[in-house]
Amino acid sequence: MTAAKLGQPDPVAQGLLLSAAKRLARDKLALLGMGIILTVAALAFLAPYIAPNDPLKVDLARRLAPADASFPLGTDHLGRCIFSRLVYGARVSLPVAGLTLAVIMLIGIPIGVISGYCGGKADAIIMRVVDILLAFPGLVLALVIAGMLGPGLINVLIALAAVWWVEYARFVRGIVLAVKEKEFVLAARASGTSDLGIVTRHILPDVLSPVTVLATLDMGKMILAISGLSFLGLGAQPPTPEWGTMLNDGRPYMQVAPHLMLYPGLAIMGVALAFNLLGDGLRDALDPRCTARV
Amino acid sequence: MPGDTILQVCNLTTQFTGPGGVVKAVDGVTFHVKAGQTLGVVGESGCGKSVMCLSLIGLIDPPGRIAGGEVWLDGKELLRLSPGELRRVRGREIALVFQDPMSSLNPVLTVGTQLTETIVSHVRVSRAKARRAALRLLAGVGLPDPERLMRRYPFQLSGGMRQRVMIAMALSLRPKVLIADEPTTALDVTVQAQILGEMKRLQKELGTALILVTHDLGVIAAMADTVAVMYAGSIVEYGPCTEVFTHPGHPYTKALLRAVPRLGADDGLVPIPGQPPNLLNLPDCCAFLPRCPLSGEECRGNRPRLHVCGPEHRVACHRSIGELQPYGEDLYEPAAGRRFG
Repeated sequence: MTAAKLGQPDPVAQGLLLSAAKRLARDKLALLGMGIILTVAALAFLAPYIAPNDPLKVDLARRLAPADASFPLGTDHLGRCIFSRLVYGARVSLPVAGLTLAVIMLIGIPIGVISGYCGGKADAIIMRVVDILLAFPGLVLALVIAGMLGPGLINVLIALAAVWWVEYARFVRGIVLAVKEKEFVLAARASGTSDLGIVTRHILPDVLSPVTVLATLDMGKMILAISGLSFLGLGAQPPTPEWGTMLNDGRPYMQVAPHLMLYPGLAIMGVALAFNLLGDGLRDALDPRCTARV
Repeated sequence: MPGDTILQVCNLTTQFTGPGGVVKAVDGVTFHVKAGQTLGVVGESGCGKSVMCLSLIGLIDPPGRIAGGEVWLDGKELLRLSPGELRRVRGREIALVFQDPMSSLNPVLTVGTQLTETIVSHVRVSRAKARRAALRLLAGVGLPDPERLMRRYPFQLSGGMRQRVMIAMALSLRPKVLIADEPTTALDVTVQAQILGEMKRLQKELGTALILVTHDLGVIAAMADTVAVMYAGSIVEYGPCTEVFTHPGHPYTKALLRAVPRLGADDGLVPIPGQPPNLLNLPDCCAFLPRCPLSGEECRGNRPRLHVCGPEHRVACHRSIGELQPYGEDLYEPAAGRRFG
């Protein structure tokens, strides 16, 4: 906000982000994670140029074929190019995971802030709802919701957001409760800052960096969850190439053609791992106490 | 106008309700401050000084509540204002400087951002204008190179610099009353002297009324025009600074003055025997009774109210009526209390 009005980069944000970026650049594992994510993102973005074949083209004469020059990872039970389907699948998994997470944060963070900052009855009611939702195993509940809504990626998004926001609400509430008691918040109140001003200026900045770390770590879980629901037939519908759906498609052929499950499985694991590595790195980089290590 | 009463506090009472009962942290406090003058509030830890400061601007959160009294600031009764109106008064007309400059600034925002935000949130000015005002303010509290300082984070400043920033922030909207709650307690003595000098100069410049809360009698002697001595949530003695220091009326004030270390004094420190009373369910008698060397039968009956014992001088003690002794007479035999060399 300040930056836009002054027409120059905000030295505050710049200073903090710059030092965090420097710390991150020294973390080899985090860089590896970021590299994998960027590569997958680039593959997804450039899919039409990179994919050697049409991911939807069925050729029953070539079904379950091993890798060769024109089909780098072989073909599936319908003779479709697995590599092309993986590349196009990244176009589904990454954006849907990101979008789901954005929706989750959009719901969870404000609710957490309200709960922590206002306290009292609002807090009690919100936290009881959170307790109830947390008492269910999340993925099973999402499965039920997605099952009731019917198959489809949008429904998977809704189902995951419906069970996952509680984690963010509870997390943010905890941070807000701690920050709210700080003396600088009392000082801000004493100088007549409004509640909205205190939340946006003094509390949200303290919330953002831990939430960034949590969100990065959750991206991996999100991709797993979406793949999992798709594997169970609730997410992307055939013939859409999606990693979880591909796993499911390959299941009957596990004995004769394990590559049908191997490559989508590796893709899911690799991306989930990459987000975890990056998340760990970010946690260290965004923690000012780690400055001494640099 | 200097000399006019700007803040009048009547019978202010703040209570905290806990599982054990009601704690009267502030119990019927009455005082007034004139424009451009300094009221020193002195008392030991836990006597309700800080709660009183927060009560003045209505910043008491549950389980505490302001149970009664009036705070008149320049013709407005603050405790009857709506939350929105009260918010506009805070900072703009009555500002607070806190004890610990280490924790009163937001660690993730630069000094410049915090100062400009404070100004912008109260006055309709452009950010650039607020920035220029912030630069002037920083220079005004004796900080060198304000341009550079604006980009600094609080952790990059020393304690003294931070307290100067806090004072600049408190004075940024030219409040009529500045409440300083132990502003120099966390600082070392040389910095303390500088900050106090700076506050005195600014007060003269701006004509602000100052309420200076401290447990340091030396600071009071150097700064205050009027002194209020607090004990167990009440004011037990109130009067012109010189008068209270030379002719203390209340046995507690006398004991406090005797407990100040002095260079060259050979009798050492004379502590006040006993403990401050538990504010939970305080009995309706003189709160100082268990520690008072002068206590008599009448002290057990009812709580003493402030009564006149000199021009502008008030004391809340049943025994001090007609017994004003010049300071220096031994109330405590050195043998009776423990002595600290």
